[in-house]
Amino acid sequence: MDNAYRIKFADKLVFMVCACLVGASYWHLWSDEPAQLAIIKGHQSQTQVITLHQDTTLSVTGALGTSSLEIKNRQLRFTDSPCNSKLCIQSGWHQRSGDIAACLPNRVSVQLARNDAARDYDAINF
Amino acid sequence: MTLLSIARYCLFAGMFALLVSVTGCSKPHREFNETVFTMGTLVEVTIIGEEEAVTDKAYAAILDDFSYMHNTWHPWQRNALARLNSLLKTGAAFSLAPSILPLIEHSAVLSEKSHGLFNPAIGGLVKLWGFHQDDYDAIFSPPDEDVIAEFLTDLPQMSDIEVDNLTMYGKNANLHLDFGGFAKGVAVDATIEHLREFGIENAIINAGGDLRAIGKRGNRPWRIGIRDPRSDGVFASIDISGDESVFTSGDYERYFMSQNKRYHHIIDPRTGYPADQTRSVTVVHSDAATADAAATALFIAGPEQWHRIATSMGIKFVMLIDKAGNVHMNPAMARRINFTQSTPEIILSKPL
Repeated sequence: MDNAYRIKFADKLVFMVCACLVGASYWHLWSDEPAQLAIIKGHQSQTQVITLHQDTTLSVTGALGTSSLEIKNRQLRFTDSPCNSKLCIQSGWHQRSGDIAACLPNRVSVQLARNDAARDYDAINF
Repeated sequence: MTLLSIARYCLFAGMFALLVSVTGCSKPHREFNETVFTMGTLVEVTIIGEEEAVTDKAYAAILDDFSYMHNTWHPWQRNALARLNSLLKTGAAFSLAPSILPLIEHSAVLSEKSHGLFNPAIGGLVKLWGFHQDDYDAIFSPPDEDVIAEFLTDLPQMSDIEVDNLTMYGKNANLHLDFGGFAKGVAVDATIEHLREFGIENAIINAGGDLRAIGKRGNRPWRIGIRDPRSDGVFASIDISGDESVFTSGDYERYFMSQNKRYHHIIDPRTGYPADQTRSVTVVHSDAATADAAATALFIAGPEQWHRIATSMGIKFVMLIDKAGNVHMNPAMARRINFTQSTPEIILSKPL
Protein backbone atom coordinates (compact mmCIF):
# COMPACT_ATOMS: atom_id res chain seq x y z
CA MET A 1 0.00 0.00 0.00
CA ASP A 2 1.16 3.48 -0.87
CA ASN A 3 2.39 5.40 2.17
CA ALA A 4 0.15 8.31 1.19
CA TYR A 5 -2.95 6.21 2.08
CA ARG A 6 -1.73 4.90 5.40
CA ILE A 7 -3.30 6.18 8.59
CA LYS A 8 -0.74 8.20 10.44
CA PHE A 9 -0.54 9.33 14.03
CA ALA A 10 -1.85 12.81 13.19
CA ASP A 11 -4.89 11.25 11.44
CA LYS A 12 -5.64 9.24 14.56
CA LEU A 13 -5.26 12.37 16.66
CA VAL A 14 -7.69 14.29 14.46
CA PHE A 15 -10.13 11.39 14.57
CA MET A 16 -9.91 11.22 18.37
CA VAL A 17 -10.40 14.96 18.78
CA CYS A 18 -13.42 14.85 16.46
CA ALA A 19 -14.86 11.91 18.36
CA CYS A 20 -14.38 13.77 21.64
CA LEU A 21 -16.02 16.87 20.20
CA VAL A 22 -19.00 14.88 18.93
CA GLY A 23 -19.32 13.16 22.29
CA ALA A 24 -19.08 16.41 24.21
CA SER A 25 -21.61 18.06 21.89
CA TYR A 26 -24.01 15.15 22.35
CA TRP A 27 -23.62 15.34 26.11
CA HIS A 28 -24.10 19.09 26.10
CA LEU A 29 -27.03 19.27 23.72
CA TRP A 30 -28.82 15.97 24.03
CA SER A 31 -28.09 14.56 27.46
CA ASP A 32 -31.30 13.93 29.36
CA GLU A 33 -31.26 16.49 32.18
CA PRO A 34 -34.70 16.06 33.69
CA ALA A 35 -36.47 19.16 34.94
CA GLN A 36 -37.76 19.39 38.49
CA LEU A 37 -39.94 22.49 38.24
CA ALA A 38 -42.40 24.06 35.84
CA ILE A 39 -42.49 27.86 35.84
CA ILE A 40 -45.91 28.80 34.50
CA LYS A 41 -46.64 32.27 33.20
CA GLY A 42 -50.22 33.27 32.52
CA HIS A 43 -51.39 36.27 30.56
CA GLN A 44 -51.63 38.29 33.78
CA SER A 45 -47.84 38.33 34.10
CA GLN A 46 -48.20 36.14 37.16
CA THR A 47 -45.53 33.53 37.62
CA GLN A 48 -46.34 30.28 39.35
CA VAL A 49 -43.93 27.50 40.17
CA ILE A 50 -45.05 23.90 40.44
CA THR A 51 -43.06 20.76 41.06
CA LEU A 52 -43.00 18.02 38.41
CA HIS A 53 -42.71 15.32 41.03
CA GLN A 54 -46.43 14.95 41.51
CA ASP A 55 -48.74 13.83 38.73
CA THR A 56 -51.52 16.36 38.33
CA THR A 57 -53.67 18.22 35.85
CA LEU A 58 -54.09 21.97 35.92
CA SER A 59 -56.02 24.67 34.15
CA VAL A 60 -54.47 28.05 33.37
CA THR A 61 -56.63 30.95 32.29
CA GLY A 62 -55.14 32.78 29.33
CA ALA A 63 -56.14 35.65 27.09
CA LEU A 64 -58.50 33.48 24.99
CA GLY A 65 -59.69 31.01 27.57
CA THR A 66 -58.44 28.07 29.59
CA SER A 67 -55.42 25.98 28.66
CA SER A 68 -55.18 22.54 30.22
CA LEU A 69 -51.84 21.06 31.24
CA GLU A 70 -50.96 17.58 32.40
CA ILE A 71 -47.98 16.58 34.52
CA LYS A 72 -47.22 12.88 34.48
CA ASN A 73 -44.05 10.92 35.18
CA ARG A 74 -42.14 14.21 35.54
CA GLN A 75 -43.20 15.34 32.08
CA LEU A 76 -45.52 18.14 31.09
CA ARG A 77 -47.77 18.71 28.09
CA PHE A 78 -50.66 20.83 26.91
CA THR A 79 -53.80 18.70 26.61
CA ASP A 80 -56.26 21.39 25.59
CA SER A 81 -56.14 25.02 24.53
CA PRO A 82 -58.54 27.53 22.97
CA CYS A 83 -56.07 28.51 20.21
CA ASN A 84 -56.77 27.65 16.56
CA SER A 85 -53.49 26.04 15.56
CA LYS A 86 -53.16 23.67 18.56
CA LEU A 87 -49.38 23.76 18.07
CA CYS A 88 -48.94 23.72 21.84
CA ILE A 89 -50.75 20.38 22.06
CA GLN A 90 -48.93 18.96 19.06
CA SER A 91 -45.57 19.76 20.65
CA GLY A 92 -46.22 16.82 22.97
CA TRP A 93 -44.44 15.99 26.21
CA HIS A 94 -41.67 18.17 27.66
CA GLN A 95 -39.29 16.94 30.31
CA ARG A 96 -35.84 18.47 29.91
CA SER A 97 -34.62 21.44 31.86
CA GLY A 98 -34.82 24.49 29.61
CA ASP A 99 -37.72 23.19 27.54
CA ILE A 100 -40.42 25.76 26.88
CA ALA A 101 -44.00 24.86 26.11
CA ALA A 102 -46.16 27.78 25.10
CA CYS A 103 -49.51 28.69 23.69
CA LEU A 104 -48.73 32.12 22.28
CA PRO A 105 -52.28 33.05 21.19
CA ASN A 106 -53.52 32.31 24.71
CA ARG A 107 -50.43 33.93 26.28
CA VAL A 108 -49.65 30.95 28.49
CA SER A 109 -46.09 29.68 28.69
CA VAL A 110 -44.34 27.03 30.72
CA GLN A 111 -40.60 26.80 31.20
CA LEU A 112 -39.10 23.69 32.71
CA ALA A 113 -36.23 24.18 35.09
CA ARG A 114 -33.80 22.05 36.98
CA ASN A 115 -33.73 22.40 40.71
CA ASP A 116 -32.42 19.42 42.60
CA ALA A 117 -33.70 20.79 45.84
CA ALA A 118 -37.32 20.91 44.68
CA ARG A 119 -37.86 17.17 44.88
CA ASP A 120 -37.16 17.26 48.58
CA TYR A 121 -40.20 19.43 49.33
CA ASP A 122 -43.93 18.86 49.54
CA ALA A 123 -44.66 22.44 48.50
CA ILE A 124 -42.75 25.53 47.44
CA ASN A 125 -43.59 28.78 49.25
CA PHE A 126 -43.02 32.00 47.30
CA MET B 1 -40.85 -33.81 40.95
CA THR B 2 -37.24 -33.88 41.97
CA LEU B 3 -35.79 -32.31 45.06
CA LEU B 4 -34.00 -29.78 42.86
CA SER B 5 -37.29 -28.70 41.23
CA ILE B 6 -38.93 -28.24 44.63
CA ALA B 7 -35.98 -26.12 45.75
CA ARG B 8 -36.31 -23.99 42.62
CA TYR B 9 -40.06 -23.46 43.22
CA CYS B 10 -39.37 -22.49 46.85
CA LEU B 11 -36.66 -20.06 45.77
CA PHE B 12 -38.98 -18.51 43.17
CA ALA B 13 -41.86 -18.21 45.68
CA GLY B 14 -39.53 -16.62 48.23
CA MET B 15 -38.25 -14.06 45.75
CA PHE B 16 -41.82 -13.25 44.64
CA ALA B 17 -42.88 -12.70 48.26
CA LEU B 18 -39.87 -10.45 48.82
CA LEU B 19 -40.72 -8.44 45.69
CA VAL B 20 -44.32 -7.98 46.81
CA SER B 21 -43.27 -6.86 50.29
CA VAL B 22 -40.72 -4.39 48.92
CA THR B 23 -43.29 -2.98 46.49
CA GLY B 24 -45.77 -2.64 49.33
CA CYS B 25 -43.25 -0.76 51.44
CA SER B 26 -42.62 1.75 48.67
CA LYS B 27 -46.20 3.08 48.75
CA PRO B 28 -47.15 3.61 52.38
CA HIS B 29 -50.00 6.05 51.86
CA ARG B 30 -52.55 7.10 49.29
CA GLU B 31 -51.97 10.55 47.84
CA PHE B 32 -54.38 12.92 46.13
CA ASN B 33 -52.96 15.88 44.23
CA GLU B 34 -54.84 18.31 42.00
CA THR B 35 -54.14 21.85 40.82
CA VAL B 36 -56.66 24.41 39.66
CA PHE B 37 -56.44 28.04 38.57
CA THR B 38 -58.72 30.06 40.82
CA MET B 39 -58.65 33.33 42.77
CA GLY B 40 -56.12 34.63 40.28
CA THR B 41 -53.58 31.97 41.09
CA LEU B 42 -52.77 28.26 40.92
CA VAL B 43 -54.18 26.39 43.89
CA GLU B 44 -52.64 23.00 44.60
CA VAL B 45 -54.47 20.58 46.89
CA THR B 46 -52.62 17.62 48.40
CA ILE B 47 -54.39 15.10 50.61
CA ILE B 48 -52.70 12.10 52.17
CA GLY B 49 -54.13 8.81 53.36
CA GLU B 50 -57.80 9.13 52.40
CA GLU B 51 -60.06 7.02 50.21
CA GLU B 52 -60.63 8.26 46.68
CA ALA B 53 -64.37 8.67 47.24
CA VAL B 54 -63.70 11.03 50.16
CA THR B 55 -61.03 13.10 48.41
CA ASP B 56 -63.12 13.47 45.26
CA LYS B 57 -66.10 14.80 47.22
CA ALA B 58 -63.93 17.07 49.35
CA TYR B 59 -62.09 18.46 46.35
CA ALA B 60 -65.35 19.20 44.53
CA ALA B 61 -66.65 20.97 47.63
CA ILE B 62 -63.62 23.22 48.05
CA LEU B 63 -63.63 24.05 44.33
CA ASP B 64 -67.13 25.41 44.90
CA ASP B 65 -65.81 27.35 47.90
CA PHE B 66 -62.99 28.89 45.89
CA SER B 67 -65.32 29.73 43.03
CA TYR B 68 -67.76 31.48 45.37
CA MET B 69 -65.03 33.47 47.14
CA HIS B 70 -63.36 34.39 43.87
CA ASN B 71 -66.61 35.68 42.38
CA THR B 72 -67.62 37.56 45.54
CA TRP B 73 -64.32 39.12 46.57
CA HIS B 74 -62.56 39.75 43.25
CA PRO B 75 -61.26 43.34 43.54
CA TRP B 76 -62.11 44.62 40.06
CA GLN B 77 -64.94 42.53 38.67
CA ARG B 78 -68.66 43.31 38.86
CA ASN B 79 -69.67 41.56 42.05
CA ALA B 80 -70.84 42.13 45.62
CA LEU B 81 -67.57 43.84 46.56
CA ALA B 82 -67.84 46.26 43.61
CA ARG B 83 -71.37 47.18 44.69
CA LEU B 84 -70.21 47.72 48.27
CA ASN B 85 -67.28 49.88 47.12
CA SER B 86 -69.54 52.09 45.04
CA LEU B 87 -71.88 52.59 48.03
CA LEU B 88 -69.08 53.23 50.55
CA LYS B 89 -67.90 56.26 48.56
CA THR B 90 -71.32 57.91 48.78
CA GLY B 91 -71.35 58.11 52.57
CA ALA B 92 -74.99 57.01 52.62
CA ALA B 93 -76.10 54.09 54.81
CA PHE B 94 -76.92 50.84 53.01
CA SER B 95 -77.87 47.32 54.03
CA LEU B 96 -75.06 45.06 55.22
CA ALA B 97 -73.35 42.80 52.70
CA PRO B 98 -73.34 39.46 54.56
CA SER B 99 -70.86 37.86 52.14
CA ILE B 100 -68.25 40.56 52.83
CA LEU B 101 -68.95 41.68 56.40
CA PRO B 102 -66.78 38.92 58.00
CA LEU B 103 -63.83 40.06 55.85
CA ILE B 104 -64.37 43.69 56.82
CA GLU B 105 -64.55 42.94 60.54
CA HIS B 106 -61.61 40.54 60.56
CA SER B 107 -59.36 42.71 58.40
CA ALA B 108 -60.22 45.83 60.43
CA VAL B 109 -58.85 44.16 63.57
CA LEU B 110 -55.67 43.08 61.78
CA SER B 111 -55.27 46.49 60.17
CA GLU B 112 -55.37 48.17 63.57
CA LYS B 113 -52.85 45.69 65.01
CA SER B 114 -50.54 46.35 62.04
CA HIS B 115 -50.68 50.09 62.81
CA GLY B 116 -52.34 50.63 59.43
CA LEU B 117 -49.59 49.02 57.34
CA PHE B 118 -51.97 46.28 56.30
CA ASN B 119 -54.75 48.45 54.91
CA PRO B 120 -57.40 46.90 52.62
CA ALA B 121 -59.12 50.31 52.40
CA ILE B 122 -56.53 51.68 49.93
CA GLY B 123 -57.89 49.83 46.91
CA GLY B 124 -58.18 53.22 45.21
CA LEU B 125 -54.42 53.70 45.51
CA VAL B 126 -53.73 50.21 44.18
CA LYS B 127 -56.03 51.03 41.28
CA LEU B 128 -54.14 54.29 40.63
CA TRP B 129 -51.00 52.21 40.23
CA GLY B 130 -52.76 50.13 37.58
CA PHE B 131 -52.87 46.84 39.45
CA HIS B 132 -56.64 46.50 39.09
CA GLN B 133 -56.43 44.81 35.73
CA ASP B 134 -55.51 41.39 34.43
CA ASP B 135 -52.72 42.46 32.12
CA TYR B 136 -49.78 44.05 33.95
CA ASP B 137 -47.93 44.26 30.65
CA ALA B 138 -50.31 47.09 29.81
CA ILE B 139 -49.00 49.29 32.64
CA PHE B 140 -46.29 51.57 31.36
CA SER B 141 -45.65 54.18 34.03
CA PRO B 142 -46.37 55.03 37.67
CA PRO B 143 -49.11 57.56 38.47
CA ASP B 144 -48.31 61.28 38.77
CA GLU B 145 -46.77 62.37 42.06
CA ASP B 146 -49.53 64.97 42.51
CA VAL B 147 -52.25 62.35 42.20
CA ILE B 148 -50.62 60.19 44.86
CA ALA B 149 -50.05 63.16 47.17
CA GLU B 150 -53.68 64.19 46.84
CA PHE B 151 -54.85 60.67 47.70
CA LEU B 152 -52.65 60.64 50.83
CA THR B 153 -54.19 63.86 52.14
CA ASP B 154 -57.35 61.88 52.88
CA LEU B 155 -55.99 58.36 53.33
CA PRO B 156 -58.85 55.92 53.98
CA GLN B 157 -58.64 53.45 56.88
CA MET B 158 -60.72 50.43 57.80
CA SER B 159 -61.98 52.47 60.75
CA ASP B 160 -63.72 54.74 58.20
CA ILE B 161 -66.32 52.00 57.77
CA GLU B 162 -69.15 52.20 60.30
CA VAL B 163 -71.40 49.22 60.95
CA ASP B 164 -74.66 50.15 62.64
CA ASN B 165 -77.04 47.28 63.33
CA LEU B 166 -78.16 46.11 59.89
CA THR B 167 -76.62 48.94 57.92
CA MET B 168 -73.16 50.23 57.13
CA TYR B 169 -71.71 53.39 55.62
CA GLY B 170 -68.39 54.91 54.70
CA LYS B 171 -66.84 58.06 56.16
CA ASN B 172 -64.21 58.66 53.48
CA ALA B 173 -64.83 59.24 49.78
CA ASN B 174 -61.53 57.49 48.95
CA LEU B 175 -62.68 54.21 50.52
CA HIS B 176 -62.23 51.32 48.11
CA LEU B 177 -61.79 47.86 49.60
CA ASP B 178 -59.22 45.52 48.05
CA PHE B 179 -58.66 42.28 49.97
CA GLY B 180 -55.74 41.24 47.79
CA GLY B 181 -53.43 40.83 50.79
CA PHE B 182 -55.97 38.91 52.81
CA ALA B 183 -58.64 37.07 50.78
CA LYS B 184 -56.29 34.27 49.77
CA GLY B 185 -55.51 33.56 53.42
CA VAL B 186 -59.20 33.61 54.35
CA ALA B 187 -59.95 31.26 51.45
CA VAL B 188 -57.22 28.84 52.53
CA ASP B 189 -58.55 28.84 56.11
CA ALA B 190 -62.12 28.23 54.93
CA THR B 191 -61.19 25.37 52.64
CA ILE B 192 -58.95 23.70 55.23
CA GLU B 193 -61.90 23.77 57.64
CA HIS B 194 -64.08 22.28 54.91
CA LEU B 195 -61.58 19.46 54.37
CA ARG B 196 -61.69 18.74 58.10
CA GLU B 197 -65.48 18.43 57.92
CA PHE B 198 -64.89 15.54 55.52
CA GLY B 199 -62.66 13.91 58.14
CA ILE B 200 -59.42 14.77 56.32
CA GLU B 201 -56.53 15.17 58.75
CA ASN B 202 -53.45 15.39 56.51
CA ALA B 203 -53.49 17.97 53.73
CA ILE B 204 -51.88 21.03 52.19
CA ILE B 205 -53.71 23.79 50.36
CA ASN B 206 -51.11 25.80 48.48
CA ALA B 207 -52.61 28.92 46.91
CA GLY B 208 -50.02 30.39 44.60
CA GLY B 209 -47.15 29.58 46.93
CA ASP B 210 -48.91 30.55 50.16
CA LEU B 211 -50.17 27.59 52.09
CA ARG B 212 -51.64 26.00 55.16
CA ALA B 213 -50.70 22.44 56.11
CA ILE B 214 -52.48 20.17 58.57
CA GLY B 215 -51.33 16.85 59.97
CA LYS B 216 -48.28 15.17 58.49
CA ARG B 217 -47.08 13.51 55.32
CA GLY B 218 -47.08 9.88 56.35
CA ASN B 219 -44.63 9.48 59.20
CA ARG B 220 -42.80 12.77 58.71
CA PRO B 221 -43.65 16.50 58.85
CA TRP B 222 -44.58 18.46 55.74
CA ARG B 223 -41.42 19.87 54.22
CA ILE B 224 -41.82 23.35 52.71
CA GLY B 225 -39.25 24.99 50.45
CA ILE B 226 -39.05 28.79 50.51
CA ARG B 227 -38.20 30.46 47.21
CA ASP B 228 -35.14 32.62 46.79
CA PRO B 229 -36.47 36.15 46.05
CA ARG B 230 -33.83 36.69 43.37
CA SER B 231 -33.86 33.32 41.58
CA ASP B 232 -36.15 30.39 40.91
CA GLY B 233 -34.25 28.23 43.37
CA VAL B 234 -35.13 27.22 46.91
CA PHE B 235 -33.50 29.44 49.50
CA ALA B 236 -34.46 27.69 52.71
CA SER B 237 -36.85 25.10 54.07
CA ILE B 238 -39.05 24.61 57.07
CA ASP B 239 -40.87 21.59 58.48
CA ILE B 240 -44.53 21.93 59.34
CA SER B 241 -46.61 19.52 61.39
CA GLY B 242 -49.89 19.87 63.17
CA ASP B 243 -51.51 22.95 61.71
CA GLU B 244 -49.56 25.93 60.43
CA SER B 245 -49.61 28.42 57.56
CA VAL B 246 -46.58 29.69 55.65
CA PHE B 247 -47.09 32.95 53.74
CA THR B 248 -44.52 34.99 51.85
CA SER B 249 -44.85 38.47 50.35
CA GLY B 250 -42.20 39.40 47.79
CA ASP B 251 -41.36 42.18 45.37
CA TYR B 252 -41.11 39.63 42.53
CA GLU B 253 -44.77 38.56 42.46
CA ARG B 254 -46.68 41.25 40.54
CA TYR B 255 -44.87 44.18 39.05
CA PHE B 256 -44.24 46.26 35.97
CA MET B 257 -41.06 47.87 34.65
CA SER B 258 -40.81 51.57 33.82
CA GLN B 259 -37.53 53.24 32.81
CA ASN B 260 -35.60 50.22 34.08
CA LYS B 261 -37.20 50.44 37.50
CA ARG B 262 -39.40 47.75 39.00
CA TYR B 263 -42.71 48.80 40.53
CA HIS B 264 -44.36 45.98 42.48
CA HIS B 265 -47.87 45.70 43.89
CA ILE B 266 -47.26 46.06 47.66
CA ILE B 267 -48.04 49.73 48.21
CA ASP B 268 -46.93 51.49 51.39
CA PRO B 269 -49.98 53.46 52.61
CA ARG B 270 -47.66 55.98 54.28
CA THR B 271 -45.90 57.01 51.06
CA GLY B 272 -48.28 55.92 48.31
CA TYR B 273 -45.40 54.11 46.57
CA PRO B 274 -44.33 50.43 46.49
CA ALA B 275 -42.48 49.56 49.71
CA ASP B 276 -38.79 49.54 48.81
CA GLN B 277 -36.86 48.29 51.83
CA THR B 278 -37.67 44.58 51.52
CA ARG B 279 -37.25 41.76 49.02
CA SER B 280 -39.45 39.23 50.80
CA VAL B 281 -41.03 38.36 54.14
CA THR B 282 -42.01 34.86 55.24
CA VAL B 283 -44.44 34.45 58.13
CA VAL B 284 -45.41 31.20 59.87
CA HIS B 285 -48.62 31.38 61.87
CA SER B 286 -51.52 29.18 62.87
CA ASP B 287 -54.20 30.72 60.66
CA ALA B 288 -53.63 31.69 57.04
CA ALA B 289 -55.63 34.94 57.10
CA THR B 290 -53.44 36.46 59.81
CA ALA B 291 -50.28 35.12 58.13
CA ASP B 292 -51.37 36.71 54.83
CA ALA B 293 -52.08 40.12 56.38
CA ALA B 294 -48.90 39.99 58.48
CA ALA B 295 -46.70 39.14 55.48
CA THR B 296 -47.98 42.27 53.73
CA ALA B 297 -47.63 44.49 56.83
CA LEU B 298 -44.11 43.27 57.69
CA PHE B 299 -42.98 43.68 54.08
CA ILE B 300 -44.02 47.34 54.26
CA ALA B 301 -42.57 47.74 57.76
CA GLY B 302 -39.13 46.73 56.46
CA PRO B 303 -36.00 45.78 58.41
CA GLU B 304 -36.29 48.63 60.93
CA GLN B 305 -39.88 48.14 62.07
CA TRP B 306 -40.89 44.54 61.34
CA HIS B 307 -40.28 43.36 64.91
CA ARG B 308 -42.57 46.00 66.41
CA ILE B 309 -45.38 45.22 63.97
CA ALA B 310 -44.96 41.44 64.35
CA THR B 311 -45.20 41.82 68.14
CA SER B 312 -48.33 43.88 67.77
CA MET B 313 -49.92 41.31 65.43
CA GLY B 314 -49.01 38.32 67.64
CA ILE B 315 -46.69 36.72 65.06
CA LYS B 316 -44.06 34.31 66.42
CA PHE B 317 -42.05 33.28 63.34
CA VAL B 318 -40.66 35.78 60.80
CA MET B 319 -37.90 35.79 58.19
CA LEU B 320 -37.31 39.05 56.31
CA ILE B 321 -34.83 39.56 53.48
CA ASP B 322 -34.08 43.24 53.09
CA LYS B 323 -33.25 45.10 49.88
CA ALA B 324 -29.53 44.43 50.35
CA GLY B 325 -30.10 40.69 50.78
CA ASN B 326 -29.52 40.60 54.55
CA VAL B 327 -31.59 37.99 56.38
CA HIS B 328 -33.45 39.13 59.50
CA MET B 329 -35.12 36.61 61.81
CA ASN B 330 -36.36 36.15 65.33
CA PRO B 331 -34.54 33.39 67.28
CA ALA B 332 -37.48 30.96 67.22
CA MET B 333 -37.64 31.19 63.41
CA ALA B 334 -33.87 30.75 63.15
CA ARG B 335 -34.16 27.44 65.03
CA ARG B 336 -36.68 26.14 62.50
CA ILE B 337 -35.22 27.36 59.20
CA ASN B 338 -32.78 25.19 57.24
CA PHE B 339 -30.80 26.88 54.50
CA THR B 340 -30.42 24.77 51.38
CA GLN B 341 -27.07 26.16 50.29
CA SER B 342 -24.64 28.21 52.30
CA THR B 343 -25.98 29.74 55.49
CA PRO B 344 -26.21 33.51 55.06
CA GLU B 345 -25.31 35.97 57.74
CA ILE B 346 -28.38 36.31 59.92
CA ILE B 347 -29.39 39.42 61.81
CA LEU B 348 -31.15 38.02 64.85
CA SER B 349 -33.79 40.11 66.56
CA LYS B 350 -35.04 39.96 70.12
CA PRO B 351 -37.50 37.11 70.74
CA LEU B 352 -41.07 37.69 69.61
